[in-house]
Amino acid sequence: MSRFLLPVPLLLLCLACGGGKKPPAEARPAVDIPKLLPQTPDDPEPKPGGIFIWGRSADATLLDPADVTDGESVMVVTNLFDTLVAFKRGSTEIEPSLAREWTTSYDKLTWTFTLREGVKFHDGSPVDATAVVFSFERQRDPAHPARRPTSAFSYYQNNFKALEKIEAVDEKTVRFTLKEPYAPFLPALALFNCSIVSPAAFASEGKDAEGRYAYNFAQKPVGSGPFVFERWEKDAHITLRANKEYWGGAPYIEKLMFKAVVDAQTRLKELESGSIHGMENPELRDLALIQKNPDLRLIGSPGINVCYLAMHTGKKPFNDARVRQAIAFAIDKKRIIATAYDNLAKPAVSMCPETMVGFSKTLIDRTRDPKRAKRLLAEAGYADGFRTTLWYPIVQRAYLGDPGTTATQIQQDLKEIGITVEIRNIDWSAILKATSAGEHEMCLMGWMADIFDPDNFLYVLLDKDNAVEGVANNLSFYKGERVHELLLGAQRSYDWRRRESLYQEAQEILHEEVPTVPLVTVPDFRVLRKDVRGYAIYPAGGEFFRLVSFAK
Amino acid sequence: MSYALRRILVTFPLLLAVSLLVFALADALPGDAADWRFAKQPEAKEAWRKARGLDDPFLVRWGRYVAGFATRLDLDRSYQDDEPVGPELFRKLAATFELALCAMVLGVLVGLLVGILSAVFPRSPLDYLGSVLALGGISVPIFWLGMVLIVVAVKVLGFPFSTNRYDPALQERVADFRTHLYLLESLVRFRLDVLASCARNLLLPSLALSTIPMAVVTRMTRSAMLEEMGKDYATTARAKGLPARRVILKHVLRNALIPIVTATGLQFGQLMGGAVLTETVFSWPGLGRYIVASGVEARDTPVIAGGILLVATTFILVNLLVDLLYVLIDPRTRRAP
Amino acid sequence: MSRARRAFFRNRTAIAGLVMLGLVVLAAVAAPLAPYDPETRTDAFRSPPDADHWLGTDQNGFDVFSRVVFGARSALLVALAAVGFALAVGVPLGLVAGWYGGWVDGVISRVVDVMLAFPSVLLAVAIAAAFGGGSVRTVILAVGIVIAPPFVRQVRAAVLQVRSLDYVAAARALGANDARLLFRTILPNCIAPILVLATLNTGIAILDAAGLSFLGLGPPETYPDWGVMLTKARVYIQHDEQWMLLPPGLAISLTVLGFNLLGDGLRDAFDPRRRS
Repeated sequence: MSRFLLPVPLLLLCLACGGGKKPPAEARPAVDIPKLLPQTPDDPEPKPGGIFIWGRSADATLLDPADVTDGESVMVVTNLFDTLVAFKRGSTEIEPSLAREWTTSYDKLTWTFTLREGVKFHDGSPVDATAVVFSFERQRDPAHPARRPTSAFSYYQNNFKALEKIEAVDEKTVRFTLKEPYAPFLPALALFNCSIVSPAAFASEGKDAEGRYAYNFAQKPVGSGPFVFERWEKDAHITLRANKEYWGGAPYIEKLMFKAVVDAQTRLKELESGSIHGMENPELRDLALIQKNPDLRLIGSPGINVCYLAMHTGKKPFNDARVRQAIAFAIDKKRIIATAYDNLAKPAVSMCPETMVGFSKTLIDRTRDPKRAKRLLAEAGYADGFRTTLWYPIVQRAYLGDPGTTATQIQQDLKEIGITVEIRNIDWSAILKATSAGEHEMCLMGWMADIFDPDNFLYVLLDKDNAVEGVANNLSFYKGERVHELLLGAQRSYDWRRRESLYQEAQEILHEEVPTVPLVTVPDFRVLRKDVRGYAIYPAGGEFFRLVSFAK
Repeated sequence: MSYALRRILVTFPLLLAVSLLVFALADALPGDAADWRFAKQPEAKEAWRKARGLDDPFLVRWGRYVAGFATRLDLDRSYQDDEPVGPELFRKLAATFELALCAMVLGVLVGLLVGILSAVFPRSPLDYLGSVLALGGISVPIFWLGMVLIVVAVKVLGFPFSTNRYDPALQERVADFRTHLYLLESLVRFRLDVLASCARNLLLPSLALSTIPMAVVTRMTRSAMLEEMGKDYATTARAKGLPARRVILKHVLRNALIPIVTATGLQFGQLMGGAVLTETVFSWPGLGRYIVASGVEARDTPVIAGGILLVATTFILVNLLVDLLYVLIDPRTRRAP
Repeated sequence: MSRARRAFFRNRTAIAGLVMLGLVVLAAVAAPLAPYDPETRTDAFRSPPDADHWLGTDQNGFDVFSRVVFGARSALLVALAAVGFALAVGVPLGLVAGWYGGWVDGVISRVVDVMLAFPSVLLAVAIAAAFGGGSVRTVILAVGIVIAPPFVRQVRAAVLQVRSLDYVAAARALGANDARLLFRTILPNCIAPILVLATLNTGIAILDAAGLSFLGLGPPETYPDWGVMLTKARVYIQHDEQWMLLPPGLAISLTVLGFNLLGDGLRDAFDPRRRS
């Protein structure tokens, strides 16, 4: 008899907690995105000192700037190294960095950079033209001693196909020669893989049996940046200390730590309790809570990313454009934004995000029309619908929102027009491999800009050059000839007006053929403790903490 | 003595067999971190596979792996960055070990107390509490209990929540620690600030995990005590007029403890594995969560294999220790063949 | 046997367990009567309990109450299938090991030892991941494999106990062959402990399966399964949206408690010494 009372305490708990009534999602005050600033206030005379801890969802994988691909490694690398040119704070304009000036030939095929005087690496060796050439040659030359047999250097492979050679003219001058005009050249040089590394560090431990440098640069990086590498406790923290002799002005904080906290809820809790001072990628559903918290500051800027549904155009029934259009008419983007992105994303009409230059401003998105969708399906011969699968990744990326919910909503949308979709979640490495090999039927994926150029979206994601099985980024395997012509033309031209009209036409064709359904673009959010000063979001990516300080 | 010796000798082939199973399982995993790392470069991947000897036959690779572990405690290198995974795994193992240890201690202490009181006062509210604990602990899913605990602690009680093992501001204070067992070492070195920080951060997760041993120990204690109390020597002693408390504490409890202690020891290994779910819910930086995160997201095969192997090895060694201790404690078994 | 049955029905814990399980079975059987289809979304989402949705809706718009009710099907299916698998594999192996002894017993017992050298949850995770997670089938297989070893041991021990008894020798003398002996004579005597073990392990199977689903190794999120529901509910506890967190967990607890009470009751009924 006493055992019947067992559920009672549990029930009481239930009542105690379940009493929280909440208004439905639509009535919840949404975060006012336009009013968000992309940076914290700045102190005119920042107070020096302190340890700044930045929280992110995973640990870095390695710290060799030419080899990194994941954001967690990139954000550390951007503080350890300098590039020849850099993005202005909080913008996408290029400014001099290690190179104090540059000139280019009339045909734009030769670029000559003059380096800054007196800059040294963290190990004391000078930053000179030899170091610059070294940094690029090791990515270009498979037999270079600073290169492991397993180094992938994928960014160099993708972005510098047009580079013919690079040479040191004298101690302070470097010359790049291109094979053909390459419009994104300068932004490409500002990317982290073009960080200048210390040749002396590589050579410091001699060579191994195969003639390669023995020094483990990926674990003990040496650059010229505002912070010096101190320690790496795997899956826990990376600690950097301030470079007091930094050419651009020493940082204000004493130490910079990067902490890996996998779970977004936990990250937020740590931020609330002060265990970390800033974080990226808050869960969208937490933003309203964050704004209510007096200790925290939410900052944001329009994102340069896109989340999309890719349909394999090489497989039935997706080879028929009418089927793809039907799917595009069936998807309810508003509902996806409400459920998976907590009303904080914007619908995307093109694979080139709105915030990117070159976006087609005249393109109008389809309005949701299930009846028309069903008609299109019937026309294509699928009046009774069909079965298919949708794969989505298990990973935390802001632009993917909550991929499980997005996939489920798409499944429910398509259910209404008679298409039965089986959704499957697949881990990140497996899904990248499988989709680039073309094993999927439909998949949910996203993309964030590496280089601030529309080429980085449209060419990479939709050109037939990138539809090679096994290495494809073009997950719909769309091989349209006209689009290919347009995209290549835009890539080779330096005339912005011409580029814009080429991209305009390409986007219109893509909208009509709909190999992928662009879903949403997500703003970039960061959350910081109220007393943090001097932090700004860099729209082109990477984190830069040199100017960060704590309020007095 | 021969029992102990035989017991120790049996452990080696068992460890070998366990490593074979672990290696086979890890090998069977579809896809691995290398696929992501060499996402669009099949030639680089081939070169890397050759350099790592991954195309050698299964038994050769297994032999290499076991030899490395047995001689140098080398657990192979990560597929993501070719760095040795050993140091990280041992650090995580220490975290899980401390979590399991705290949960064990908490569970045993509370379980003993409630069990004794239940036996001494049957059918009282305390006995009822004992039943609730005993049944609840093994019926409630521990990851759910953890989440409910978080809600109650953080929202209702305002208890601060952290996923560190200690406050990172105290980093300097642990810089000279020799092991990764921060709680234990801070106790030994009498660094009370670190100890307090560790204990505070361990509180919630070990509370959640402790419900399992608490349930088992409560039940065992109660029934063992009742059994002992019913025995002749106990009733005789009471009839002779000895105070009940003395009877209980001196004789009954000591005899009842024997099976409880051994069961506790065996539980410990299971706790280390069960910590997987608790660590996930509380984001505790332990081995269980590391293995699952790697298994579900990164698929870094050496991490998964090494992690499971370490947990299983610890489990086997703990069992061995308990068996040997049992031989020492219980004189009756010494005579058994 | 009938004495045991009488003892069982007099045991209050056993009755309590039976009642709880009865509720769960009722939910499973009557599931189609649930107000909504658990895999079709409704217009509302993340809404608290109200007249339309008795336990509110989840982040996708599925009705929580309907999913909890259908979840009973999933839980019972997985648990019974997993235990069924464990019995189908474990009992014969135990019989063979106990009866034939020798190297057969040696091999089987060693394998069981190795499997028992792993903490069960971890082994289940490893097996599920190796089979490529993501479906109910994988969960059933992983859990089944992990809970099989205790059955092998139990049956083997029971066989060893029974094989030297008189009536077995008698049956042998009469010319019965091995298989007949095993199944006709020995097995019936092991039923009691097997039944208790099976009942208790069903509870464990439910917990393990829920754990695997929670970790993401189970079916996709549209599937009405209590463990899957808890994975998603986890992220909403910050927001006071506890209606997604509490019902599935309580459902699991109730079901497992039911099996545990039932198992305890059975054990008490079969073992006269334990009735307290």
